[in-house]
Amino acid sequence: MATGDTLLILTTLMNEPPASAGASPDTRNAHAVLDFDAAANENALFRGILPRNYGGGGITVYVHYAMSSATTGSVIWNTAFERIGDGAQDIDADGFAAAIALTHAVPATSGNVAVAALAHTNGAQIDSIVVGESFRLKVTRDAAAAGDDATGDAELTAIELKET
Amino acid sequence: MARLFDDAALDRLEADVAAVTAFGFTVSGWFNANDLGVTGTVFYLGDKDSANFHCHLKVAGAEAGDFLKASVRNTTSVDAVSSIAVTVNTLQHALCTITSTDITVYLDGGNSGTNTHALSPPTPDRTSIGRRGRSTPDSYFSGRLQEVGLWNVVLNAGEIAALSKGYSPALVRLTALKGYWPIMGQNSPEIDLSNGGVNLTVTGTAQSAHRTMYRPTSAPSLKWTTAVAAAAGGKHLTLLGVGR
Repeated sequence: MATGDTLLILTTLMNEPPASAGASPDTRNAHAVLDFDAAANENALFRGILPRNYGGGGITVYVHYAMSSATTGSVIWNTAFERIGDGAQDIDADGFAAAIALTHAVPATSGNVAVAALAHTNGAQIDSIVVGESFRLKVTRDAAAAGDDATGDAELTAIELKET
Repeated sequence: MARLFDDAALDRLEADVAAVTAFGFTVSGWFNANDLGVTGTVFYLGDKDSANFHCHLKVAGAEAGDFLKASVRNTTSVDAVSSIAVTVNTLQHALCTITSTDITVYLDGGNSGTNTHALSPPTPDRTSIGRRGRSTPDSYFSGRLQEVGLWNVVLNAGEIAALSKGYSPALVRLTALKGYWPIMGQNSPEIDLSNGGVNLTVTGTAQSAHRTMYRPTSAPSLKWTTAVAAAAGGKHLTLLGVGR
């Protein structure tokens, strides 16, 4: 029974940046962060292996972030899984499942870290990854969407994957 | 550990190989100049058999102003000059970008200077750190050098800022990284950690303090402890192999 288990913890230094439109590495008081722009969609990519204690449930992606300056408004986070698995994905191409989106109100203090929880059900929303398979997680700030109205960068600090 | 370069002893790191061969590249490195009475080379790429035909990132201590300069030299020379002076005995970040038309230098992520040029690219066959490795080498560096990176593209503003804040070159545009010399002072030759494979022969130098960098890290392993602990009512999460 693995519901509630932390499956993986991902830090910003694990980012495998995409060839274009990548979030920018930055620091804030020596915290390593990834800056996601307010004007254009930017992405970060993380690799993992679904651990053996995974029990087959959904996976909630907790996005920990602060805003560089904004104290009002919202950001829209998208998360998407790509199963690499055992012969499931030719890594010459991307194969992400449809993203889950969440509009999240930013903290009232720009340096405070908020946690946005994006719940993926098992199956298609996690690209049908099974225990022991490798995968990638793409995190995107959907800055182009109208609902993403917070100004300035969103600073990703960490990510937790928990079995729902 | 970084390396401490003694200009009087002609200390340098060098290989008779060109880490990149065409304009459109970026050089980044950390330096601590301990003598601004001399001009010292952070990075050189050029024709070892010629006094000309090279690109050069240097602390121009012997020149008025003590600026950081990036130069392209053919039969004439064009410089880009930082807008503020280098500070003696202070660890600082140097970066330059050189295209077929522009040369820009950055000191500590900003304080930049730009110039235009129409010079033909050199045909480089030498990569040097700590001296201008031309036919009659000169401009030996006095102080510490570390974490030198070379990309065969012009990095963007965000990437330049990240490097100046202490991100390892291994975290910036890895696909274009053609030279990365951490210069830990523990290997001879100094190893190139990029896929360029240009290891640098060490002449002289001594180990010295190294700036802490943000480096790539691996995923922590999460492990539940034994059934005994679980049966006791506690779930204990153990982090294994957390690395920086």
